[in-house]
Amino acid sequence: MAPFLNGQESGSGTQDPTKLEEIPSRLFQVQDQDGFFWQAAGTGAITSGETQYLQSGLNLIAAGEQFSPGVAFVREPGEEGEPIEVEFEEQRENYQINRSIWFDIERSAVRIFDTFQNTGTVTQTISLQWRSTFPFPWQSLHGSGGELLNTQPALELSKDDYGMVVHFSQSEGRHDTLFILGGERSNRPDLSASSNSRELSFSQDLILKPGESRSVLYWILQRNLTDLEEAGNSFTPFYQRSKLVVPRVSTEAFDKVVNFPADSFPTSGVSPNLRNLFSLNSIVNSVGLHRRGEDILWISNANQLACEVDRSVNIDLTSPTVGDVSIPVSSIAAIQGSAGSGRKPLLFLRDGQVLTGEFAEKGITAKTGGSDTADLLEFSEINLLLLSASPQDGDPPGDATHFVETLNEEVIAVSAPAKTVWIVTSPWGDQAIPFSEIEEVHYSSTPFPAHRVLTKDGSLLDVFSSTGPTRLVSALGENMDLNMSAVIRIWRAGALKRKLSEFGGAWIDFAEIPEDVDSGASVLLSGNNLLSGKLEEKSLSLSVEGTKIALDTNQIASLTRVHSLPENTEPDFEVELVNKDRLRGTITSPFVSLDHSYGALKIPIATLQSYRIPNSSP
Amino acid sequence: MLFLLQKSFSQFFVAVFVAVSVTVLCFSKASAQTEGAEQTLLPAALGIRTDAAGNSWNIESNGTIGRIGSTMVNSGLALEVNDEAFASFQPSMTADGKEFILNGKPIESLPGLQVQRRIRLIPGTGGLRYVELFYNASPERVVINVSLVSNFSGNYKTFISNRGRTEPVILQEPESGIIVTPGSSQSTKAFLFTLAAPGPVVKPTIAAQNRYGLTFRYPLEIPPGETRSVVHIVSQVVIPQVFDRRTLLSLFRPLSFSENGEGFDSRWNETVVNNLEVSSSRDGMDLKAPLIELGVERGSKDVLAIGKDSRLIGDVTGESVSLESEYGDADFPLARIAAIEGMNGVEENTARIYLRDGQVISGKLTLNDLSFSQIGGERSELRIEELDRLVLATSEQDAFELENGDLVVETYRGDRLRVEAGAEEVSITGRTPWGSLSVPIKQLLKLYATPEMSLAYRMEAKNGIQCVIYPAQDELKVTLTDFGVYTFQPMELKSLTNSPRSLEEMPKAVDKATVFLRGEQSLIGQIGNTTLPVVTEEKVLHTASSDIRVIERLEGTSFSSGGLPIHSPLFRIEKWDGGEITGYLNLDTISFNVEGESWTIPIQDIERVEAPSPDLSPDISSAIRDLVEKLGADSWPVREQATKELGAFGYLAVPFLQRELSASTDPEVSRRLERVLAGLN
Repeated sequence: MAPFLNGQESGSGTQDPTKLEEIPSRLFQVQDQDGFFWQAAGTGAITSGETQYLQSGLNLIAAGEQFSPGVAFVREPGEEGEPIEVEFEEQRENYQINRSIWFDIERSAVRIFDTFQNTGTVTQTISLQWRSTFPFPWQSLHGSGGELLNTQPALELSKDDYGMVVHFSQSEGRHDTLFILGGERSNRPDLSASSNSRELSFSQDLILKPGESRSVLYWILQRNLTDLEEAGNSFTPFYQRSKLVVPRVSTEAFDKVVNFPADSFPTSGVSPNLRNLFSLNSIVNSVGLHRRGEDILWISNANQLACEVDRSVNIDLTSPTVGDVSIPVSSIAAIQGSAGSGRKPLLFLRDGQVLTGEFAEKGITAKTGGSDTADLLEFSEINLLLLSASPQDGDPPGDATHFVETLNEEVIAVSAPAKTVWIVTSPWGDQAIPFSEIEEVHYSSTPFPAHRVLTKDGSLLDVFSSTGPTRLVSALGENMDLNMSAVIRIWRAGALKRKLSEFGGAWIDFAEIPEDVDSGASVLLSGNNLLSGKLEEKSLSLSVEGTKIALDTNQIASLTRVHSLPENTEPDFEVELVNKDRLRGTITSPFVSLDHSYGALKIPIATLQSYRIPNSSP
Repeated sequence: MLFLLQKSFSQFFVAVFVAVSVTVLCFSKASAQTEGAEQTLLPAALGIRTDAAGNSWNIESNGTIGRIGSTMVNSGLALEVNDEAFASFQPSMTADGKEFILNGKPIESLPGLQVQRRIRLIPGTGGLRYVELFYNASPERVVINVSLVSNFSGNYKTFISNRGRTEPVILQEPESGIIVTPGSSQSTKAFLFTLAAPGPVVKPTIAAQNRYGLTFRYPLEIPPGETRSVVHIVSQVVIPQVFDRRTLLSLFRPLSFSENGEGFDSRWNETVVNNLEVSSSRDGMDLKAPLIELGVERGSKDVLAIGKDSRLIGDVTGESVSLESEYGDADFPLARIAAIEGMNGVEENTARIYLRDGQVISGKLTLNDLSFSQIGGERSELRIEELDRLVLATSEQDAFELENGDLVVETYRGDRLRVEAGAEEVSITGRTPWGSLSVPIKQLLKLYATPEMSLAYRMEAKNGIQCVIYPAQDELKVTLTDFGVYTFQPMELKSLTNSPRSLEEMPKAVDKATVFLRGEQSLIGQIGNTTLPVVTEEKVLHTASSDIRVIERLEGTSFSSGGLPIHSPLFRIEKWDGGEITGYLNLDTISFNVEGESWTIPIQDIERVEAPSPDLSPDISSAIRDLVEKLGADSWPVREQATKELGAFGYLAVPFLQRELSASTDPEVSRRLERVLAGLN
């Protein structure tokens, strides 16, 4: 069997796995986003690495014998975004066992996918047991909703449970272990627990015809649950509304999994660009919902209804930003209604745009709850209507160069005529920023309200927008005069990530600047302002222990302010020259001048944090 | 002065079951407006608490963190004062259970010192915030060492500052705390300690004991009758895999003091030694400061300073000093000069003259027949090329105070120049995010650049406007007292300071609204919206702006509508009739008229709005006036009834009653008016 099953919506990895003929007793350790450690043992069991919480998790015993793989394929932690996984393989006399382990660092869990294939000539029944042991006794066992599990006459899940929680006393500082065990309507394993509350077993019998293979899928999570009722929220990133979310299982294996029905696996064809839908994502992420191949009327976390929205009509509205528009329902990804409050309805389009305004229609028609008749879902009443995801989701409109988000939460895809400029006031007076040069804009409230502008050359500056209109072309087909002071964000069409966020701590070093901001030769000023350019002066006067030295600015590789102890307030700088010499002294001039695309900018030394010319060499 | 600690020693600790005034919020000025929420103290239910991040904390009766399970701390943040352990009695907590208040037993070696620990579970990011309060009830100044001692259950691996320095023994200016990583197999979490704000504040020393203990030590000096306090935060965080700047910042930022101000009494701000005083940067200009920086103490004799340690005492004689500067040329008679900084033998050095009126001017100096003679010694000629520093004796001509109408410009070159008082024609025009503003410089209190704002200026005007601006003018033409008309480029200015605000100049804002904005800004004007739609409990209430007394942003509150997040901030709206609405404004912006122009202000920028007193209708005015007259009636029941009825008018009657109170000559009427006003306030 080929290692590493491909999944949907998740990369299959570009690096080839490493084959291990001799499997060590313990493989690499990884740490998930929540800080929990994971490590696979040579037996395929999962442990909590060097920490003592999970001694052995989902240790597989088949037909009474410990799983004992002879070969393993390993993809160790490496490049960001590359999957971390291990596949173990054991060939027994009449059947083969494969265990695939995926360390889902981002969602903080481990997916176990065990596959059993009958390589013999007669039908076989294999008794399977997955045993988990803990170094300390647990306090209680709970179902996926947080309720205590029945223990009489035997430990068992309730009919609605798809997972369980092994709860430890927080007062002892031990966190919980969670398992996803199987769909509510499928063949979930039997449970048993040891009397000392340290060993938990899941068991199941598999009947395999010759040549047939069957699989079992589990998730295992470590969590600090402050309240057991939160257990459900921990599971939803992986399983919600009887559907698995990104299980990383190949399509061919769906109907071979015994503990989840085939229709609980996600359908294919979901766009990889879903990440572009920033506004919609912020909402669905807040409720932990995953869009997929069905329309869902989301009423609350506890109540959701599958529905079928009529896609043959248009929604007409008058947007404060773009005026009258008619939007085909087929191009809508979601609708946030008023939910009976004064909240304004929002239309989230599949191309990333968001519209609001005066709606011509009262609502949208849809068949709900399996009904044959369509009902009107009124915008004033519905909370959130999520339309099924499609391969086109996240693809920005073809001509758009930027998205512009306004104070009223509208997001409009725009392009700008070549000479379009945005008039702003900067510390150096009024500037005209060519719209085409804008990489990103964020209206930030700290330390004071201002537009943070990142331009293509890597300069990042706080500016105040003029209140006059800027003429842009909306992707919805109209010219629009946009008051840029009402803009809270601008980003490039197709960007998968927005780089600017609220002002945090003061940057004093280039290392603190967001990774994807490349300013080249630049100065870093206090207040987190970054200006691309080289010093204009031919020489810079530096006082070094009373000696004045005129430094050729072409020979300066970097200037870094030395942040000294409070009692020493001298504005000292460390200077690194191209030839690697280093000097520490005081710049005697009160100003330097920077050759920037805005022109020559005079910069008070008092505000200069650092200056650098990357890749400068002698 | 800190309310609690002003009380006598016995009063201070009898707080159990007694309602005390605990104000809500925070390190920032704008949010410090809210005061007066009453809370009751209850006996503390100490023990194990789990924070929002799922980390458990075992808080002991003396505030020390006890060991739980396999966490790396055995005993954390035990408080010692001059090496004497803090012990509490009658630990209490706020009624909401969010904060423990531990009053200390007397410190044996410091009988006049009262100590209180306040420990609060931090919402959101998790962790504990400590405020250690020390009140000096003795008549003497006390100097103490405050130690926070932590012992770990095994050897920790290392500790690293938020700026990436490994195992520092004292935090440097930009540093705010450390992260302590556990030794192997010890724990999944590291301990993060926020110990000071970044910046020039008191920083602790950090003493390590064989990798199982750490002690943070703060030196405190407390004048008699005053309080000093130390704030610190401890949290458990995921152990980072790398310790680059970015990772460290993302770990430390949510645990900074500024992000965790909930429940912090604004009146403690001035007592905290390890946090930046918010208002410190806007104090009036100290005109003596440059002289002090010369490092020579002024006295009754002239001093010729050479280097760091050599000081010659004597007398300077001579005519004057001539200055050629970029502002112009001038001759200064010796009597006007407070000090001269020479070139000290280095041709490139800048010479400066310090005048007795606080001006400092750099340029080419010529010393006209100046000579120095030591007491009983020979007279020697002074030459600017060789002179290091000459500091002249104090004199009656010293005038380092800014009088009413005085204006001083400070440049990035370090020069300070006085501007002619009759500068009423000159204005500063600045751009804000919401519009442009032009203020005559004689109406300015101060215009200054602040390092954290880079090249933006903070402008404070006498009418109460406080704004961050970028100059929207190419030049500023002023008349300098010694050089005549001079034109500054905006970039040259570091500050422009007027004489300190006198009481008469304090804005009274009775006829205009004040809107307080993000970035500690405030505008004076009129609300342009006639009604404001407020969404509360899923209902929209259209509220007339004229009915609104105060709009107050409720910080740190995230809320939702129908389970979905609402991005608008939550506000509490107080009406003149005493009604209150809590909800969000169903608007993206409000309109605000400033200096005759309509500005559009995003709701997200608004901290607070204080509306002007409304005009009363003739009927209401007449009714109030009648009732005020009845306050002086002969019949006691009539006076009582009038008092009650006045109270029923709510805030509406306040300005009217205040006017009546100031005009009243009848003690009975005055007393009753005061009673009514006290009830309304």
